[in-house]
Amino acid sequence: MIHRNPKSSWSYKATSSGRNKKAPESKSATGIVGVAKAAQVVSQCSFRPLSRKVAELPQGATSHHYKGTAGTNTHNISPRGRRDRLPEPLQYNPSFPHSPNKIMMKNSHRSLRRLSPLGILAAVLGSLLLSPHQLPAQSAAKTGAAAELLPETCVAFVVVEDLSAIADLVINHPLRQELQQIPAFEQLMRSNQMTQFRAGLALFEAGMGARWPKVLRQLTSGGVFAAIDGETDAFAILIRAETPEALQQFRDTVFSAVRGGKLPGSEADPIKTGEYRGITAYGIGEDLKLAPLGSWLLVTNKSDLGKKIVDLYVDAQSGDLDPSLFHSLADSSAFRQAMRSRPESNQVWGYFDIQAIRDSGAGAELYSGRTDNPLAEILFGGIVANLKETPLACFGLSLNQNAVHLTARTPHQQAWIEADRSYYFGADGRAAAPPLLQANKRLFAMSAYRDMSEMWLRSADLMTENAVEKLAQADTQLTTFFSGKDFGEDILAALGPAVQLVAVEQDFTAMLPKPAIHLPAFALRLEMKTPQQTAPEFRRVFQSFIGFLNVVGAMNGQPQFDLSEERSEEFAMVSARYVAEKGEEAAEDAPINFNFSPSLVFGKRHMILSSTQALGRELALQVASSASPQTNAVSSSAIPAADPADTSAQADAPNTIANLDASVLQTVLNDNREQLIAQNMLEKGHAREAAEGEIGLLLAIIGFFEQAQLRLDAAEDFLELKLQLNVRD
Amino acid sequence: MVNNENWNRLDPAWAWDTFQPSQETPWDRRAAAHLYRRAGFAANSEQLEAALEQQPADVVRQFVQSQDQNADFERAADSLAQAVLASGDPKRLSAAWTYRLLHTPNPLREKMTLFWHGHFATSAAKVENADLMWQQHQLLRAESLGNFADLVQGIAQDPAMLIYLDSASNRKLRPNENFARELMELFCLGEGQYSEQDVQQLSRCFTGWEIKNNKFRKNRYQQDRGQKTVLGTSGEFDGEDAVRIVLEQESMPLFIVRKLVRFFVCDEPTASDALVQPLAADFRQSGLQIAPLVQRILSSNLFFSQHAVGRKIRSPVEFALGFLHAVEGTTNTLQLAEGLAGIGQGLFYPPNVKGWDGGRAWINSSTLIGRANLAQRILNDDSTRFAEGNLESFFAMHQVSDSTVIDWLQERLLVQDINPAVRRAIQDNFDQDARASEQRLRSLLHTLVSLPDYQIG
Repeated sequence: MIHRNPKSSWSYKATSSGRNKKAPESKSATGIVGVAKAAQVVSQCSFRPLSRKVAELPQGATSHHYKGTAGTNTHNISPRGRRDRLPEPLQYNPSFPHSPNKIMMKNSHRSLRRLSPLGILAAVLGSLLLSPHQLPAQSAAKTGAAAELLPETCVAFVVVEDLSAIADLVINHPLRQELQQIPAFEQLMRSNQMTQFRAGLALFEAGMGARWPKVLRQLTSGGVFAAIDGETDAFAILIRAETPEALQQFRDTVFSAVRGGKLPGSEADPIKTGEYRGITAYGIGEDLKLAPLGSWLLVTNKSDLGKKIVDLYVDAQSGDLDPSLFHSLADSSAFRQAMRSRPESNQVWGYFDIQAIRDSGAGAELYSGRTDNPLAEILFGGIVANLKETPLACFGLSLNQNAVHLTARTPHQQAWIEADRSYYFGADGRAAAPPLLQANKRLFAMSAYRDMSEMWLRSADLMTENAVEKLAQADTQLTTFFSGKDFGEDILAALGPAVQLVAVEQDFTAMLPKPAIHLPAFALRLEMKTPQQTAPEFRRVFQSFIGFLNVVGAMNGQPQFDLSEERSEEFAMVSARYVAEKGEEAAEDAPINFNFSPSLVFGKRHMILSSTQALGRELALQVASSASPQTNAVSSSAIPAADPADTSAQADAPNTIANLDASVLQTVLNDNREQLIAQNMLEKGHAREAAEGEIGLLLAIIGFFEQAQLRLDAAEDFLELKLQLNVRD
Repeated sequence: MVNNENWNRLDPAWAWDTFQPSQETPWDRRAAAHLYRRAGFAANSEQLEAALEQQPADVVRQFVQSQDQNADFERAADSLAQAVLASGDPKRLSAAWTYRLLHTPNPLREKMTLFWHGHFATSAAKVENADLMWQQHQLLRAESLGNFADLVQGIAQDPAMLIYLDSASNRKLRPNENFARELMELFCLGEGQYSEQDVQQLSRCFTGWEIKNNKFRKNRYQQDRGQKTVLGTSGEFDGEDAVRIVLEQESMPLFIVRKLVRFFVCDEPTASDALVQPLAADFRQSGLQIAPLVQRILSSNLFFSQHAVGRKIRSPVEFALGFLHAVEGTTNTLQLAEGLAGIGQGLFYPPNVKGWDGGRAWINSSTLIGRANLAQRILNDDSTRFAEGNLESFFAMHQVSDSTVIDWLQERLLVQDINPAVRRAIQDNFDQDARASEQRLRSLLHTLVSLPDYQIG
């Protein structure tokens, strides 16, 4: 029988003389037996098929039956107890009001609370990167094996089955050669950091006796698995190599490099070693611990999580464990649910146990369903409502030569969406976005279903007190602007729920004075329910607003607006243009204001609020020449079939759809290159040459992409967010 | 010991004679570091070693002459400022100047620009126009080591200055006395060198000078063309005449030289007329050329004597840039500029028309903690690098080990060695720090620059 020595700990002792050296810890006889046995097991290094255990586990099991090897000394213990800290023999009293299981869950929650809301948000948003399908049985077994080594308290799990294949795809991509020929890339390669990196890589390859792609293949052939443990607030990465020998060589090479890089005169060994249950672990610095477990390499940032994983590994290897009562991540319902809907062909997939994270209280602000930021509410309010109820979020990433697909999917039920957020999903929960607006040199377009009037009126239930206060102030001011009409009930309610936003590159060639910073033009298109009543109201308010800006501007020495009107058969436009100061009429470094000539355009049923006259006119003519788009008619002729984002919209009627054109983005950024370089110099302290290099590289990399498309679908039983990044041909 | 009595007994001839190294006052790293701290912000290792290969007077000459070189850097820095101006935010302009201070190959020019910025104090908080602040800044930099008369004539017509002193409009029926008063009291002569009648008469000379559309112009309809008597001289003077008359006053060179001696040599005590008289005479003789005056101060026996070394309190700019220069540090200058403002020296934001008081006024319980916090923020910032790498690689490059790092740093950062007991405590703390090497080194650097010893420059 393997006894866990209560004194055994994963403590480090320096291998050479140094200030961190600690006296070796005494081992009990049982501990030594355990170590010897574990070492034997490690040398055999074989795993049972693990999926069997998942299937065999009784639902709702709350305790584990720990079976001793001697056969007579059998103990019930907590499934997730801190076994290394409990005195032996371990006893589990089922009548104890706070079962170890519950205590562990409580601890887990307490630890999770330490995770910052931002961290949780990042994690959840990270989940939006990826997509679920079916894996072959072999890969399921691989994943299951990793899951059996991880504790059940893990709240996030990521699988990279074939890291080497992803690396091959990137290395052999046609754009890689193009990238290497970019001067800015060459400059980056010549930088000190990259020179050091390449020297380090050469040293690594020499140590491994092979080029890094081959080494990567050898080291990760069994997959790479990452997890975040809620109880210890730590991460773990499990890498499964072809052979334990490959891992040993990797370890020796890395350690040699680390030791070679220590400060001259520093006596302390930068690698610390420790032992736990016969497994040797290594520490590099404060936050990196490594432990080879047969052909697995465990990397973690906290010893507590490392010990839990070693426990699971040693117990599983020794066969002292009753698999029917043993709990690992593979036993968790979230994991099983994620496995059922796991990706089919995605190179990376994973999930977040949203229920566990939510129950822990971590990121409480995110799950409160209220936001401080009205724009964030408009964009993500529906997702936040879903996260308040959904048990988990799965994600997947797939890459090919032409595109990167990132998908996040969460279980979804219409019943979860309270009336407050019907503005987002529509009354039936399936409301669709209008088509994307087309425009010359389109940079960005977004269309969504959002009933702004309803959102405004329900803001008290959707937003924080602070935000509601500000909205109330805005409501008062807007009501004044709109001659006493209630902004939510009268003004916004006069507009339909189809929201279309577009941004385009501005043409500054013939523009004088020319602003020093070149901003894109943007426009918002809305439908009017009763145009004859609404249009004059909005026109009047627009004119008043421009007058107000002129008064304020005059007080602050800002340039003044000149109002004008334009009428045609198709539209009526009222617009304002900044008047140049005397002597500045031909300036090419005019203030940023000269990017704007705000315009309000009225067609038959639509209203366009545009930042420039030119864009307002273009959209008005375009909308007039095409069939008037219907709120739910995503098949509008305004969307060309060539636009993949729009094509997908036609098929599935998304709730929200957005498209970003990379080549236009590159042009816009290039137009403002000087400002970007200046910002880089100020923020990073770079010399001009280095800043030029970074910005040049950024622009070149953007140029490799064609477009990015984002869509949010609300189906009957799931909510799905898809991001597709198309690579240029 | 240095006190007022010793100071007043100083022989002016000895004081301003060119410093010749001796056994008692050798030309070593400490002396070279002192010169770099005062003429610039601090020296890095390479600069220190190069300086030791030359005579001190030659190093000073290079400081002064380098103003005409490094045109590439000046162009790049100007272009950075122009890009920043497009945003119209004076706070970003402050970051652009901080960037220039951090990277400049002409430290004396920047130091002198900073001096004149404090002397002709103008705050963007009131001017609220980045372009005008930049325009004034360019004037200060161009004339920082040029001709004082040109500088004052330029300032008298500078839109930012006139807006700051509420003198954007100056009409003959109601002359604005602000600029006239500050021209004599703060810019050229000092208190007690003029009467109220001089202020009134001088202000009449500036009537018709106004700022329209952010540009200086003379409005001949508002100019008082009558007879004026300014500082004992009578005539139908205009603004240019008024500036000339003020500059011709005998007390003017004494006032400026005394202020420069305080800036470069020591905060306290104030130099007597007798001590500064030789420099004042030379200054007048040279036609108010600033460069020779500064060169003589920096090359003098007094500058390298016990009366000067460790006799100044570092300004916030000297505090932060001092340690960054010494370890070839670069960082986020937006954050750094904001941090400097937080501890009392916001560039383009002097506190009032008198500029920064300097000296002991830099330090109080709040700014001392603020300095330590700023150093912490800089050292914790991801963008902070040392010779384009981390601190660990920087020290490895300079062959500095754990056992020599404190000596290496104190020689470059501090005026004198740390008290042995404090030194032992720092060394013990450093040795027992079990964190990663980079964190230990950054923590050590933070400890050293937070010491009271480092606040002395």
